[in-house]
Amino acid sequence: MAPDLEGRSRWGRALARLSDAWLAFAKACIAGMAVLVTLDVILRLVARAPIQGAYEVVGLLGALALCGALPHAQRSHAFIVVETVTEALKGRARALLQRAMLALETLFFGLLSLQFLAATQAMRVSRQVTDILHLPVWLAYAAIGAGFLSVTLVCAWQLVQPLAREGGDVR
Amino acid sequence: MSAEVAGLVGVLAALLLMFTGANVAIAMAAVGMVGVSLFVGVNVGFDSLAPTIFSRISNYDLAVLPLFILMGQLMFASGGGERLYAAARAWMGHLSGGLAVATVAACAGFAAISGSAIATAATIGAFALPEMRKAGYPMGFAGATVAASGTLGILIPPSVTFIIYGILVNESIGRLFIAGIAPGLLMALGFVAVVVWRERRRVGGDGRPPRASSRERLRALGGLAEPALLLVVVIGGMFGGVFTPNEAGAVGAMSALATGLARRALSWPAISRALTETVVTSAVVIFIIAASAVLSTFLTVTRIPFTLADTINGSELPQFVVLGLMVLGYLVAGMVMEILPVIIITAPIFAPIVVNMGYDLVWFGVLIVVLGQAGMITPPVGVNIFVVKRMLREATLGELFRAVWPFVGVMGAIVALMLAWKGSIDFFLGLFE
Amino acid sequence: QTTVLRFSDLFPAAYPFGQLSAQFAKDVKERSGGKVEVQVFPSGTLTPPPQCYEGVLQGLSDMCQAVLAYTPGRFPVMESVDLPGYPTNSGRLTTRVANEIYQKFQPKELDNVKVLYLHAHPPGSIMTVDKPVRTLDDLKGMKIRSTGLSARIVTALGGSPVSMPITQAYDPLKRGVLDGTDGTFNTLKYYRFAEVTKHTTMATDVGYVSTFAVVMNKAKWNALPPEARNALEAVSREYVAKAGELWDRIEREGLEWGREKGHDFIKLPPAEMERWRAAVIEPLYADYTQRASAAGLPGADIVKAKRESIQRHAKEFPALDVPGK
Ligand code: NA
Ligand code: NA
Repeated sequence: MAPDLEGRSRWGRALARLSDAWLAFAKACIAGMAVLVTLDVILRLVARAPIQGAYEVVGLLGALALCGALPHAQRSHAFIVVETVTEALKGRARALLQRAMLALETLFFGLLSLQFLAATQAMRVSRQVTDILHLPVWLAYAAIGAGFLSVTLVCAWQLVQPLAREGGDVR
Repeated sequence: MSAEVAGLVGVLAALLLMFTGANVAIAMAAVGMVGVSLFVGVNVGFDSLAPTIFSRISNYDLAVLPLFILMGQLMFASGGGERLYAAARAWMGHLSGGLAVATVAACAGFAAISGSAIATAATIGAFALPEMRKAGYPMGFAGATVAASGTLGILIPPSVTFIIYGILVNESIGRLFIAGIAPGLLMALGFVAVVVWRERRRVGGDGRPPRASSRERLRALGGLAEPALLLVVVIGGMFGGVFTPNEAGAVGAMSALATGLARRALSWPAISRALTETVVTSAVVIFIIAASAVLSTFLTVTRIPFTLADTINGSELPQFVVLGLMVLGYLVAGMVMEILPVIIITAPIFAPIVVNMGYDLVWFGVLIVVLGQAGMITPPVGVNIFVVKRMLREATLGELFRAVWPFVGVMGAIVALMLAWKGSIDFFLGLFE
Repeated sequence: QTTVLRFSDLFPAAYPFGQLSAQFAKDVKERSGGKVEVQVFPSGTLTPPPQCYEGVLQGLSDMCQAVLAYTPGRFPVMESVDLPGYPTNSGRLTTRVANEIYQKFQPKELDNVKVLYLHAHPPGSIMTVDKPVRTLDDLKGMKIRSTGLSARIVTALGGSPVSMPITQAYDPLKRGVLDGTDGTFNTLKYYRFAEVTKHTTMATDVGYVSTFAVVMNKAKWNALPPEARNALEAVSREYVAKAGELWDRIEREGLEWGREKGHDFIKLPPAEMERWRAAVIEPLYADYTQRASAAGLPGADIVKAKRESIQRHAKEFPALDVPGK
């Protein structure tokens, strides 16, 4: 296990706070989604007047909840990993392999955040909006880009930590 | 290099990355991106990442998936799982293998209000394992019972796996849910037969709790009030036309919240923990689905799915050989790795082939889910076994995996039944339609 | 040598428009003397519908058949074509109007791609499960599947819109989650709506339209040899007409299918139809004009041109009716 983000490093503490904030945001999105869909169902039944734009807002909330939960998922090692080979290895070889994979993940999350930020600009230019409420889609792209950027930072932080003394596991 | 070879190399590269311990989602997306870059154009591979991922994660059907997990989490947090198990125990605990029978029954019951196999095993296991320990059950067997019965969570509706499959192959989620009920109950019966047979063979059968009194039994039934209410609201509302299967998760989660609050069994920290579990679990799954879309895009560009379909349709291979190979592939893949990513990649590729052979996609969906269940408990990688192991010190992984085979046998029997009887799906659907 | 073009089609291969795409591929190959090979990826397998257009811009696909309304806000001029107000329910009329609006305004919004051909499905109607809708008051509060523009129409008519893709509507109609759905007549047959609905209110006068664009990546287009471009353009020109005719053919099939299944087609008397039109048309055009003008476009001119185009061609493309026995 890698040390968690708390601890003595200022960066670690800042990232812990960032990932907590994202997590709270993601939880709010899911809670909001549950309320919105239920209200929509109830209003449709009772008042025969559903909530305008609920459908598109649910889709956006889902996307936002996903990117909000990712920093915490990375931090708490929640991602699905096949450990058949790593578990068979020992000592330095294992540590190196894990580190290489963490480097790959850092690189890829970094790339994703850059791509989402670039796409944000493309979406702004395209003026694409949502169906009913005409919400600008680029806002969602920007939020998702920021989410991926935060995961990248968490990954990078885990990558630069000194090898833990016992066994050197970074996961 | 021909397109098909390039695609095959890509799949192998993704597998290699996965087995060297990369984040499964990133292994798929990275290979897909590199593949598109080499095959279509460097900037295309990079630029299409964001829209490909966005179009999946903002999909309504996928967005509501966490709510099916939240429903079970809230039910767990408010003690619904405990009461469910207590009721099953009061009614069945004194029988031969009674506590294990009660475990199967409680899992089947919880499966009807939870969309996830892991959550079902963890929820019921938390209460069933200590009871079985006290009664002197061999813990390898007890753990295997929990792990296997927990997989009913994805066969008995609602089911996250059916939702994902329905999105991938564009099949009605409502029909898939209905189709899961009969095989789910059948499988539960099969598990009951397994545990009774195991317990009869075991010497004695001592340590069984005494038969509960009628009063205790009635009181335990009272504990079933909320799970039963939730079941009626969710399953009844869904099939009775009050809301769509997609909306059922939200209604279920809000109902679980309401009953939990009414019983004063839900504190704010408990709700907050349930939300954390929900968002992290679902984010991991949804990220895999989004990432797999990047790999699928590459495979589609290489036309592998079309070539494969044409090759199989044009070949003289008998249907049972093709289906047998698919089933074998899922079984083997399910042994060595997490089965969900395998389903996510292969379902859209196999679906047209299956349709071309004259099978219903709902039939294939049930088949895939049952095979997925098997993957969750077969060695060496079986998530539900891992979940149980975390709650169990006395049994080794080896003991758990050895004890699980009779349950896998029941799953195999259902697969065999479905393979042998094409019309089984109409029968399953007809029972509840 | 041969240029291979990846064509991302949102229609399933078995749907008549999926078959039309396959035919298009064949024609292009033949007419270009084998120089251009169009490789169709049906059912959004290469890029799902919302990503269809973006996929062409980025070069993931070389061409696509996109529904312009799936990326709202991107095509403010062409959006006007989708607004209701067509006096006849012919897909040839809607297709003609779409092409005339495109020709007249040469909208900047489509400058990033090469437009091969445009077509538009005829205005939709409302199909209901149990309750026949004969007046505007009957529709009050009924749960009608509809998305985007059509949801706004349903709301304006006093109905209660339920958002879901039309491909998912069958089951909710059967179970009673929905009281009805909007849709073109061909859905009675091709989405099997005749099995789960009993009535169709023929309200195409206020029905929404969807514009489809078959477009190509611009760089890929520019890189084609001139003969290949000529062949593609010539074939595409023919497909404007073919698409319009195909819409009318499958609409007739849908009507015929409904009649055979004993489906009840309700025609609204002119006075009642006028109430429906009053509830929907002017408010939607006013909203459109205002939004288009805010985006710096000649909103009023576009609306005027559209109405003139309709007037010019309405007689040429008469309404389709339920066939007699
Ligand atoms: Na379930
Ligand atoms: Na396994």
